[in-house]
Amino acid sequence: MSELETKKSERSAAAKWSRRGFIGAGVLAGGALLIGVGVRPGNPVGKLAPLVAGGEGEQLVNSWVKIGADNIITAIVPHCEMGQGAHSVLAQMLADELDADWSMVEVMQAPTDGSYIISDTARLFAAPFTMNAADWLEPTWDGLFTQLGRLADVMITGGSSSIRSTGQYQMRIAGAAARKMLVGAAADEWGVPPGEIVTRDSTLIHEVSGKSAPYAQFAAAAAEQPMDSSPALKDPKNYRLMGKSKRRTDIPAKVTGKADFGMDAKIPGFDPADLSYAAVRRPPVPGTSVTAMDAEAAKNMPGVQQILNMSSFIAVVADGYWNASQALNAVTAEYSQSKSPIKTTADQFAAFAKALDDAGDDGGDMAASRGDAASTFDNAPTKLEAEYKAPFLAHAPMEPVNCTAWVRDTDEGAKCDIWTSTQVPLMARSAAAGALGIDADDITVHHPFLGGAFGRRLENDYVTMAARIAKATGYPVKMIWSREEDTQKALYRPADLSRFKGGLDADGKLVAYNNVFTQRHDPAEASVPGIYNIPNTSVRVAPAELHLPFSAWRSVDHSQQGFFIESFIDEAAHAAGADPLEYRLAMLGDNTERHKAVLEKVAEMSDWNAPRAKGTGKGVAIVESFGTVAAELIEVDLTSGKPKLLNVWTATDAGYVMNPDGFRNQIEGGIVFGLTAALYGEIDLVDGAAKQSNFHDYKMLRMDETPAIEVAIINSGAVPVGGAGEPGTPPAAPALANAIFAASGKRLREMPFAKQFT
Amino acid sequence: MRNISIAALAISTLALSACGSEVEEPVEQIIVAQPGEAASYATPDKTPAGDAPEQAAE
Repeated sequence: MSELETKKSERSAAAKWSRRGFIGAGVLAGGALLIGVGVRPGNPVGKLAPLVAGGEGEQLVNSWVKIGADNIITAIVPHCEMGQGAHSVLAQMLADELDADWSMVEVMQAPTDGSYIISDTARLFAAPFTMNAADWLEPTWDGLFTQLGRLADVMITGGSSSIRSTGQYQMRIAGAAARKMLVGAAADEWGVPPGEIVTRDSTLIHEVSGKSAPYAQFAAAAAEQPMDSSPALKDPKNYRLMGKSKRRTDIPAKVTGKADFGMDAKIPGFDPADLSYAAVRRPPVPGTSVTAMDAEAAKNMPGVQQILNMSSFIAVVADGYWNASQALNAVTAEYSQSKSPIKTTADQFAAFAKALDDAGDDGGDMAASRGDAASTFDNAPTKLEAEYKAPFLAHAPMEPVNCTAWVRDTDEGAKCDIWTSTQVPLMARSAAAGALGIDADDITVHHPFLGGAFGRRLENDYVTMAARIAKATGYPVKMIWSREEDTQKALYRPADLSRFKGGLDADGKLVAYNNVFTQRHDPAEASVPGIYNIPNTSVRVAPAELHLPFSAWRSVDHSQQGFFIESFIDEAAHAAGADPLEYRLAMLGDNTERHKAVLEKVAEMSDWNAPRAKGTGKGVAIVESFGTVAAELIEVDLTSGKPKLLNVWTATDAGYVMNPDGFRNQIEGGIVFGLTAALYGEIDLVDGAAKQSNFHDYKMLRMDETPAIEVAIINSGAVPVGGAGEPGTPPAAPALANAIFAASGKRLREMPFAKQFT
Repeated sequence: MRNISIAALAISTLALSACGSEVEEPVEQIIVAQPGEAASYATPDKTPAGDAPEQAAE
């Protein structure tokens, strides 16, 4: 269906949340909506206007909306743009509620300022029960989350959260509130009831009198209007922009090359030709340090300015990155010994296996429990046991990790400017402050577009390194990691080992499900097969030492758990002699109408029951993650002896998709990301260090290997709406493994797959 | 089911903030030249800053 009815519960929740959201903003802004720049001395509006509305004729209507004299509406967006299209869709949501002319809407990245925290989003995820708290408790909750949000620097782009949280509960409200203020201002001026004024394409219209005016004409007066913190939101049948594939605002600059990424940082007042560059090297083994450095040869190389031994890394600063990197290659070093007993991949999995052995059938930390899985398994007529492995993975964003920093003494003390691509600008600021020993308020973080991130830029290791280099030199330095450095010495999607015991009853139904694994990070529910009705379930985690440091990687725990769970369900279907898609449908538990719908849809799309050519196979998997249900069905051809991907069909239900083209883009990207990991992704350990170094041995799925991908969108109206950035990834690996099994009878229980066909 | 990625990240950052960070100075700092100065032994045909087309690593 293309439209959906807004459920009463959604409207009321949104209204309540809107009030709370703006009260929260009001706390930040001094107790009211950010109105009347200069009207309320002491109100932080006076601080925000110079930050975001310094242009001539620009008027800040509230913290998220400014209107120019040319009637350009600018949506101020607190999330970063890393190719996922969040800037555009968030502006689309705001503009729709504002009745803005989309052709005259622009997007501005919110500055790295505590006024733009998304603490309401954190509240939504961390404490959803507070959404329905009694009114008298509201100030307490708002105050608590505002303070926590500021302390924790909650300005984050991650968790597939931008649209479903900030968009739904912040940008829409901001747009609706601004519209109401504009109407109020026009009504006062024209002496007519507000209810007689309509808005369309950034224009206020009073049809009775024939008066009309562009928003810009009333922007200043609107900012002085009283604020309705619970503005009525549009019913979906009245959406003009939401639900439509509107243009991406970031694309033109990216096509023309005008877009700035972190790597493009330019420092005001500095000739780019005079900028210094740093190449860096960290010890190869995590947890070790530089114990000795020999830089004699490097000192004599062209362009070298400084050579730094920072203990945790070595940096060479030069007049260009090439000279810096060449000189760094000439620096030799010795490193401390790692205390970790894990030296190889085999060591890592041996540590995992020992943890699972120790946990046995009932040990470890319980993640989910129902019935008696162990005894039911013992008595089951059909028993199934399987063990699955997932390797370490690097993020490998296209834009290499980089950060430019300038630390300087001023009459007001030490100041620092940071230019970097980051998913967490406020956290980057705090990290730099810690590394420099100065107040965060003395640091300005500039964060342009990100050339990919996938979780890598949730980390601030590179920010602190750049800050320390710049402090040591006393002049601006652009630090760039080599591809090798980021592939071998960063943070990783953890490897994991997962064991299953399954018991099938006489009818083939999976009645016992006993699972233990070693890595549980986030989200907590990723390891739970909650969509299936399995009467006896035991899901446990037996923590084991992880040699490489953890980092969230697109879809986080779902990336491994989706493979583990949906492979095992497929094995159960095979053991039962059942059709794997029908088996899943039959096993679905309560409240799984959305899951049933996507499975049936993907079966229809793929013509699941059609005869299949010899040597080909189709596999299916379904994973709910980040609020979106995604079923994927992959067709593979093994006639050449190696898997050739033919088709991917996916049916998704995110509740309601705000921009179908952008959503498809994200699901497709997530699938390619997941297939890359399934086929090729692997970071091995050799002598305690990561082995793979660059794209020649850490392969990406190439264009000629990428199958046709068809994405179906089901707008079920489920609330809250789901995310887009990550849900495409988790079902890809199990769907492919299941397709390979269907084609060949070969069950792959270990990623990556491609090397198992050489 | 609820995703708690953001909350977890925020809480961990809060914890890190509470712990504070250690300011680390260079163990060894070799100053060869200042920006804009050619080191006495640097060759004159230096690579233009920011122009590294031969980044073999990429």
